[in-house]
Amino acid sequence: MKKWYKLDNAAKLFPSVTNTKNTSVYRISAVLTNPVDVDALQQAADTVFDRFPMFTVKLRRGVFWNYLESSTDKIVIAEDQQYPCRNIDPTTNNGYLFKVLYYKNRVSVEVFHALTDGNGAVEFLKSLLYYYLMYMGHEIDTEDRILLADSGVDIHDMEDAFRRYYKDCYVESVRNSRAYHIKGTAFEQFGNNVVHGVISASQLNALAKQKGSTITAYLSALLSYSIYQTRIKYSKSNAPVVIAVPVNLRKAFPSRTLRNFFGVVNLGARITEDTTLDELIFRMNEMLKYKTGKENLQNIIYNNVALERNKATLFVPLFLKNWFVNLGFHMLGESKRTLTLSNIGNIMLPQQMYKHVELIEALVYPSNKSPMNCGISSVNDKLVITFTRNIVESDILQYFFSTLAGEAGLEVKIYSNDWGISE
Amino acid sequence: MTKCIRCNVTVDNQHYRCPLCSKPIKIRGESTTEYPSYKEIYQETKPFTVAKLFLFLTISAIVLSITINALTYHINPRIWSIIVSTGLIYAWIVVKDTILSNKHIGRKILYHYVMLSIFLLVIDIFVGFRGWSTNYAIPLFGVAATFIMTVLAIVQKSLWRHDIGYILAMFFINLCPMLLFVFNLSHVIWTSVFSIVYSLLTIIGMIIFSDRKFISEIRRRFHY
Repeated sequence: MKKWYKLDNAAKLFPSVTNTKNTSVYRISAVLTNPVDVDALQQAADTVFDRFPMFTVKLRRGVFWNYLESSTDKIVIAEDQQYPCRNIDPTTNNGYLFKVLYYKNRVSVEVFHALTDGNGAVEFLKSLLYYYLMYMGHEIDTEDRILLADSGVDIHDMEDAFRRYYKDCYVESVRNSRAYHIKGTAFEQFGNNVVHGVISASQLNALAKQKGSTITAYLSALLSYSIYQTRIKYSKSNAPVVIAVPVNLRKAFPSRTLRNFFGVVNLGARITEDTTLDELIFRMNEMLKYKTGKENLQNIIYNNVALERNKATLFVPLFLKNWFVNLGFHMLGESKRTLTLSNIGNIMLPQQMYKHVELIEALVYPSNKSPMNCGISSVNDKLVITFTRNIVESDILQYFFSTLAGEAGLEVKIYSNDWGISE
Repeated sequence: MTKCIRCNVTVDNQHYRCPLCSKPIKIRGESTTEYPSYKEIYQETKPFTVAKLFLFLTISAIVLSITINALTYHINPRIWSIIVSTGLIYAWIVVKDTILSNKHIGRKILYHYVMLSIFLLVIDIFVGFRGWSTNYAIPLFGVAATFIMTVLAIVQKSLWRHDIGYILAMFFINLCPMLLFVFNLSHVIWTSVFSIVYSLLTIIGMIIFSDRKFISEIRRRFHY
């Protein structure tokens, strides 16, 4: 009999709001030092299969909720041919909601967000790379940093941690105003352009420290400032720039879950002619510190779960829920943020794996209302800032990277997938 | 690696131009960070496809029939163009949603039945509402649709695992002819009663001939 899982609290959102232009598919890639060997990668994918049962599932529709049904079909790796973060067609790919892709030196995992968050995807990618390198003949001591295929599935890997940490609490709702939205020209053919900028993680960290801030707050501030300098300054808009930052809740609320367990905090600022970058960094840092405090995160969990547990939503058929969730997502989520900046942090690998991995990249899917999103990840002291966008204009990222290189004095290395850029 | 002087950054070898400012870069080579070339994918979207041709022809036919109907209304005072249009839309659904799509068969039957009912109702109304559609056609086609689903569930040995949602939906849709009777749009009761009883018996049969799989299927479909 096929096993099935309920969607976790955060995952319930994604099937309702997903379409070809808001795909809910993010990508985490590793650029290796050597070209990828296809057979070894397929072998690695077969090996990790049993360890990640919450990944090898298909999305099914119920009367009140969607659910995930486990499957025994193979994970088929494929050559990367399409633009990143494209929507995953459930009639292909064995019906799975994630893909393992390769091209030259890059191994990518693309994941539909209903399965898991960045943390879960990184664990999967790490295990995959570990077995891949092992089949390539490298000896690696795991140092307890890798989920091994023969370690058996832990029931805690599958928990909906939102439910565990749900606590009744008093939450004041504050009405936020609409955020500034980046507008631009669509590519001739719809798709995502990615631009990666590689900088030294330690140098950036030192720079952020010097300003009394963290990397996430520093980059959020610089990004807001770039949006102001390139766009808002020349427009009549007075709308605030709001950077949505997904927060890994596992740090404040210990859980080993490999499913979704994240909350989103918004860092907003109304920027004017007089605002300086340093001031903005200070404000963003304070706001981030306050909003990622345990109490505030507890409120986020409460808000998420309360909605799901609401008696009124219990017996609403799925098609109506989809409609309401979609509406709420656009009114309360999408229209209140300018863009998403997701920092998946420094990826901890076993020592012997570092020399095989050059870079780790995190790609956040763009949508209609936020046509440009930002993902940050680092490994080996190399921090990659990735912008995924579905518009032609690159003015904001040009300002952003030039400022990092010029005023901040960091060495920035740029590369891109050149989607929509004719040669 | 080349320096883009304008942006103050270094650019990896695979680029002809700086990805930030599009300034041309002279040297081009290989790099570990290279992405696939999207040239072939770019050419995928064609302006002329068979599907687009059929869409265009269908819309043309609808527009033309409405036009001719309007111009000749004084000779033949009947709105026949609505029947033609609904027929064409129905044909469109048959081709697109039933023949060419790879959706679940239960869904196809359900959609097909709903569209067919609308089509028949439209014909009935515009040839002087005699009630043959609501009295006989719609409820009896409902029975037929339920029957086809049952046969498929047995032949494909899926035994309702993936079809129960559709059979339950059919049950609720089969309640509709009864409403037609209540609101006096239908004057023959036995057909509506027959369709309800038939789908009710199907569901009772499903439950009696079910195995454990069926119970678990119900549980996952209806969890809340």
